[in-house]
Amino acid sequence: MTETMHWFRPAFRITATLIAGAILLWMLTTMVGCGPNNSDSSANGDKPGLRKIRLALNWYPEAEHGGFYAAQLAGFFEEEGLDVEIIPGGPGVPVIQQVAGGSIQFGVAEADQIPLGRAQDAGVVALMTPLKHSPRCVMVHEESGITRLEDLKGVTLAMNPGRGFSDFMTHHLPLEDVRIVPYSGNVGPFLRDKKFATQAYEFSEPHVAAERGASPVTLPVRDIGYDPYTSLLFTSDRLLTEDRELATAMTRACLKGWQHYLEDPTETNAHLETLNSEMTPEALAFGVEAIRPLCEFGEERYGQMTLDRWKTLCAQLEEVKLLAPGRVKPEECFSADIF
Amino acid sequence: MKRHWSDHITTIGLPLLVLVGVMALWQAIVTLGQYEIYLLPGPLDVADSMWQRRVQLLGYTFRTGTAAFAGFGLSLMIGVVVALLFSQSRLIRQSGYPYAIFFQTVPIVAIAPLVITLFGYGLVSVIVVATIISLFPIITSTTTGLITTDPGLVDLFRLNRASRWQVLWKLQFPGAIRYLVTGMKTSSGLAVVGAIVGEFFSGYGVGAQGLGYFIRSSSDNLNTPNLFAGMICSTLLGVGVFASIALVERFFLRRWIY
Amino acid sequence: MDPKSSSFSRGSHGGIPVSRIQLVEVEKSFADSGGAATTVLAATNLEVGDGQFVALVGPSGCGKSTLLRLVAGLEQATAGQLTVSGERPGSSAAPPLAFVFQDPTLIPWRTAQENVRLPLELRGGLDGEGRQAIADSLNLVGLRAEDHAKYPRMLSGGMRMRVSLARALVTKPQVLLLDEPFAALDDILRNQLNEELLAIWRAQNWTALFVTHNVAEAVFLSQRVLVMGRNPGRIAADLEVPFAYPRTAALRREVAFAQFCGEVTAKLEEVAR
Repeated sequence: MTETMHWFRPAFRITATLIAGAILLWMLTTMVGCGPNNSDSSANGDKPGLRKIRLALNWYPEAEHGGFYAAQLAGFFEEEGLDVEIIPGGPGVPVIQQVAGGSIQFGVAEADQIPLGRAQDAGVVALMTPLKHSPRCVMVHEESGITRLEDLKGVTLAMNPGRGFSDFMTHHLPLEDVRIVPYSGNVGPFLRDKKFATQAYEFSEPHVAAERGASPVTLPVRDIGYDPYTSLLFTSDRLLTEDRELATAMTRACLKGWQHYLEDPTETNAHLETLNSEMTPEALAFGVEAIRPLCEFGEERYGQMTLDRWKTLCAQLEEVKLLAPGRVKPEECFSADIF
Repeated sequence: MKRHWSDHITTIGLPLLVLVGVMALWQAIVTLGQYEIYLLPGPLDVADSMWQRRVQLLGYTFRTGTAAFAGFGLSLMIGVVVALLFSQSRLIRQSGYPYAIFFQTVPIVAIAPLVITLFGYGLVSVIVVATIISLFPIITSTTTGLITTDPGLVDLFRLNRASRWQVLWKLQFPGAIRYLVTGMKTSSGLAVVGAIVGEFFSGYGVGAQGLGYFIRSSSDNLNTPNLFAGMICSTLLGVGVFASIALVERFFLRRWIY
Repeated sequence: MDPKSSSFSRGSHGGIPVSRIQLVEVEKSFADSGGAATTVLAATNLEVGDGQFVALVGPSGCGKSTLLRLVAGLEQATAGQLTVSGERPGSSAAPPLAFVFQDPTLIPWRTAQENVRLPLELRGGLDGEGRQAIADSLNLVGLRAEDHAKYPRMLSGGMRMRVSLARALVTKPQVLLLDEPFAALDDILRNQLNEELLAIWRAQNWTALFVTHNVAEAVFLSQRVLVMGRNPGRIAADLEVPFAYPRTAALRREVAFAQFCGEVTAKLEEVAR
């Protein structure tokens, strides 16, 4: 369910271009121009004394965003003097662009988006990560007998082409007799065909497939070395330099929120259910259980990131040619000393 | 009939002038507004992307173009046949039109999985999606053309005891050609969009890819110059399909476009 | 000899005058949306002899066009009996007749000669003789050879009307129905076409029903002028035109011509009152 309708934005853009390139230019400039104004106008807050800021999610509210909502519900934001408006995402929402442009202060993203954005002069920087390991996986039927990514063969594999993880997979796996087709965001084709494999998030699609009577097996992409931080909190270079205090406060509150969520997700999940009508209590409960092992929660340095991991990620993106060699410095991708 | 050379200068020169103007405006906006490349790349950045990826882009454009042309050709054939059926009686028209409108309003997301179930992943599904999206203008415009006839000419045909078949082929159909061409021009752009949307869902398998793949992955990877390059290629493709219709119109259909 | 081509030399059969067109108590009414019937043409009796040239004048809404369309078989009478050459119009046995519309009504994607060819294509008369008839007919109406291959949009209004006339004549009709064919043309051109039309009629001697608003045109062309009245549409007067053929442009300047036109006009005004 994670990337259902990513095609929407490009489709819209093509149509727009077909009508008139000039109009598109005009729209883009107006949109960019209007961004900050919008946030100004919404700043007439109802909670006096609190600083009003906005956090943009990269998808609809799900378990992968639980900690951010927990921080809101448990009042951790208020403790830091913040009134945070959480803006749910969806297909193709330009989170990186909005945060880099300054119209929104904080965003949630997958780690590979940070260097990819920086390569396009989008000055974004990661602050903390709730998920230390990537939930990205390939889901196969138990009946296929496949237990490792290396054994993927003779199947149809649905995945978004041209992404970091998918290019990494095509680089490093034999994928003998594997037909790669676009990922449509729905498990229908998977349920119909025992020789079908699909990209998935461990906390989402396997639950849906199992509910529909399938016996899914997940093969994590991190097992072959591609393991970007996930659901990480990021901000812009500019905000980090100019208002480090805000970045620190926000990081602290989100960290507390995630700790709270992983200890007791009940209240937050009940709230998420009201925000996302597609979510059932079972799905959310399954989600938290699937996320928990990926967080390495309980370690002393929970939420912190390491330069080694960023170096690996950048090298991997360079290897699959999504990043020009040397274009992005790994140490600029995250703030090592925010904690 | 003969067109003066100055006409050609206007048909080619004016759009070129607009192009130069838009490019200049675009560059000016980027330079003056100091937009970052991820938001709005300048024409030079995009040109650079296009040049670096020229071989791939050519392949993508060719593949998408093939699907678009095939889808367009199919919707042309199906559309004309349906319109001929519709023109035969008001009853057929009334019972059929709601289903024709289906093709215009159906959200392609909703039926893409169905299309893939029926036709499998690959070129055929891409063509089917392009056909579905580009069919409606052909049906409506051709039907309108077929039922819009000069009542005097209908009388003339009746006086000469023309058969229904003769009325159709000597009066209705030739008279509908200019409507059909209008529909084709609308439909050509839609066929390109349809092929790209089809590629988002179906793709062609490993290795062989189209503009839909390129645009989607550029968007996912925040590569805005590539995204613009893909959009420009799809625009050029649309212009190409449109221009080929205009050429057919000029050299083969001149008699019926009055 | 082909019966169609024999019509060129036709006058009467065995010396007895034949009614080419016969209307007995013919009536036409439409049911309007409220269900009430509107009578467009009240019970009408009319006989038109073979080879006669009859003009119909009258105010708008007097049913003269309806009368023409009934004779053509384009509409069906509500009551009464109508025969053309002894047959019901529109029946398969009815002889071909030709109609010249108010507009040239040419097919835009066909050249002048292709337009003239159309009736032959539809009737299946495209043999060698038919092909010759196309050129003859175009020449007869005065279309220059270099204009034969031109499209209607490249021809003037008068030229288009000539093509329309040629298309009517190409089938060698026994009856020609003309519904205000020259109404859109200027006076000089109309006069000229009137003279040419008369010359063709004199040569071919078809039966003509000519609808017009213009009294002088009606008088100049016809042997009989039928003055029609309205509410309901009917034939109010049947006037014999007292001028011998051949008629030339000089006739229009004669006092008697003007006097007769005056009589017709007076009748028209009486009817319209």
